[in-house]
Amino acid sequence: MQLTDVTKTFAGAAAVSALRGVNLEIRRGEMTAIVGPSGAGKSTLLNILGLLDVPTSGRYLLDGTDTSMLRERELTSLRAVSLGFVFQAFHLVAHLNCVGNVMLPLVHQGWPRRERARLATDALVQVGLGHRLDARPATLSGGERQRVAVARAIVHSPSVILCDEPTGNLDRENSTHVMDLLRRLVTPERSLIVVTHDDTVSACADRVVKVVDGAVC
Amino acid sequence: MLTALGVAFGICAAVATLGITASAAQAVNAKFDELTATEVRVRFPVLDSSARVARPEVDQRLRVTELNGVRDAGLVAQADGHPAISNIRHDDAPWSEATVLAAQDGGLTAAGATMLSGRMFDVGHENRHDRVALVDSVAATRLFGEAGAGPGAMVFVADVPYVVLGVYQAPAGNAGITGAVVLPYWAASGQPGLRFSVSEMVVRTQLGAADQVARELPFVIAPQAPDDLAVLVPPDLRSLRAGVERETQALFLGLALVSLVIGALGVSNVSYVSVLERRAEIGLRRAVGASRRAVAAQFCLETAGLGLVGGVVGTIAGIHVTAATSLAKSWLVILDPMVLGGGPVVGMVTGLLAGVYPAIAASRVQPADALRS
Ligand SMILES: Nc1ncnc2c1ncn2[C@@H]1O[C@H](COP(=O)(O)OP(=O)(O)O)[C@@H](O)[C@H]1O
Ligand SMILES: [Mg+2]
Repeated sequence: MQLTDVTKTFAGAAAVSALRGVNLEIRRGEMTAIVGPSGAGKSTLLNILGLLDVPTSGRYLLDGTDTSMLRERELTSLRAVSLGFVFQAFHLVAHLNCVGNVMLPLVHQGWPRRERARLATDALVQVGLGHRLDARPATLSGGERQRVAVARAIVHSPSVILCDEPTGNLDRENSTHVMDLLRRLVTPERSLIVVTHDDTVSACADRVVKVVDGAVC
Repeated sequence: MLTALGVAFGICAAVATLGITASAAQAVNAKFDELTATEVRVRFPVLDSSARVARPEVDQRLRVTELNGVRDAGLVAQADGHPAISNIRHDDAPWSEATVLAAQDGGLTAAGATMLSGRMFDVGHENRHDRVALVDSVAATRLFGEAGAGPGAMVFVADVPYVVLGVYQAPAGNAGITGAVVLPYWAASGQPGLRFSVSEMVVRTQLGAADQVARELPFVIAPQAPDDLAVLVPPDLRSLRAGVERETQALFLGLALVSLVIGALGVSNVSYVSVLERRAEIGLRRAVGASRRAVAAQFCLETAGLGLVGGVVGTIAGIHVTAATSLAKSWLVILDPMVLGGGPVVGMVTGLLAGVYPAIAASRVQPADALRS
């Protein structure tokens, strides 16, 4: 993943320059922590890396592909295949049970139903929730919800997992548990990018990127 | 679920409207069917237009009665103007509002006359050129003071006396023979003071035979000039039914449409609110690979489902309303299968249309915005 001179400006009454010329290379198989003060542009950077948003200018190469050349449909399927997301607010779908939530990334890729359920169950077992397969998110604790989210991020074996303050809503014990889980996901084929405020999280990263006022330093 | 109620109400109103009007039309028909559906009239050209060759002749009646499906037939001629009519005493001013007809007995029966008192003409009266007359019950009341009175009395038509043979009752709604004084058909060939220039062959058919008989009549009556004859067929049953239905239907279907539109707006609005509430879910689905189209389809499918539920509920309710109304009026319940199948389909389509706007809104959700915590 390589960002060259990436800027992001949010239009509006007062235009906001969230990113000002970011150059960044993230290598496969590493855990990268993105740290910095609130409002510095960490989430914006992560959204661009995760193809959830497009840069205002600059170039973003993902596995050698210039993403600015891709149409929205292609960005969507690239996301679906190669990327996994974990958010601070979990973002589980309330009316689906754990298996249903974890299956979501498989739904739009044409996996047969039975295969989807099997992969989702495997992922939930991997995060230690094999006993809560049918539970609704509302019945789970914060830590458990985030583990469901982690299961959802890995169910389709993506090559990059992007986490925006995954421990931001968790107490210390659950944070540790979730971070251990995330740390173990890093393999030579898979990178992990974590936006965090938490020093213990950045401490276990292979590399720490500090963002201040829309620039990497 | 509550929003599907609007759709349900609209569909219910539509189904009930169609059902009730169909049942009512059927009932209306049942009343008029017997008389209106079996009467065929063939009008001869006015006699003094000499170029025409089709003329009424007494033996035409025999040929017509031989046709399949004909129960009764006979010539009926109408006297021009309103000849003066009075009773024997000449005590009142002559009555001049009555119609004077000259009719073959079959023509009067075919027109639906039933005898109240006395008797009908027979062949003898015709052959002997007897000066006899039948009067309608309205005329009898006017001339003799009582509906059934008259047989044996004298009636003067254009100052010529006729013996009243009987009093008949005209069927309701038949203006042609109501209030008439009827002479035997021989009189049509000319009586002092009377000129008959309008003639008809009145034919009573069996139920369902009217159309067929009407087609054959001109050729049987005047094979040399069938086109001279004007055939008056009963109003087509289907068009009659449609006529009755259309009037009431237009109003109620309008109401149904209005409630359907209100229901659709309700569904649309609730669905739109749910798009706003579920922005995070939409963003999440987009993040994990749902295309804009898939998100839009999901919302359309949801509203179509709501619409279908509304349609099914509405159809069932509409059937009940129709059945209850028809039972209360002891009509036969008439429900078109098209309406029964159409209700749910219309509901679903309504839901689908109601979902278009929310679906577009859902497809516009930007995942990055929606997932910001
Ligand atoms: N959609 C948006 N519209 C306008 N301004 C935005 C938008 N998203 C982020 N910003 C602004 O961009 C800046 C960086 O935001 P963000 O990347 O969320 O910071 P961080 O995650 O480091 O706290 C902030 O000033 C924020 O207000
Ligand atoms: Mg942030």
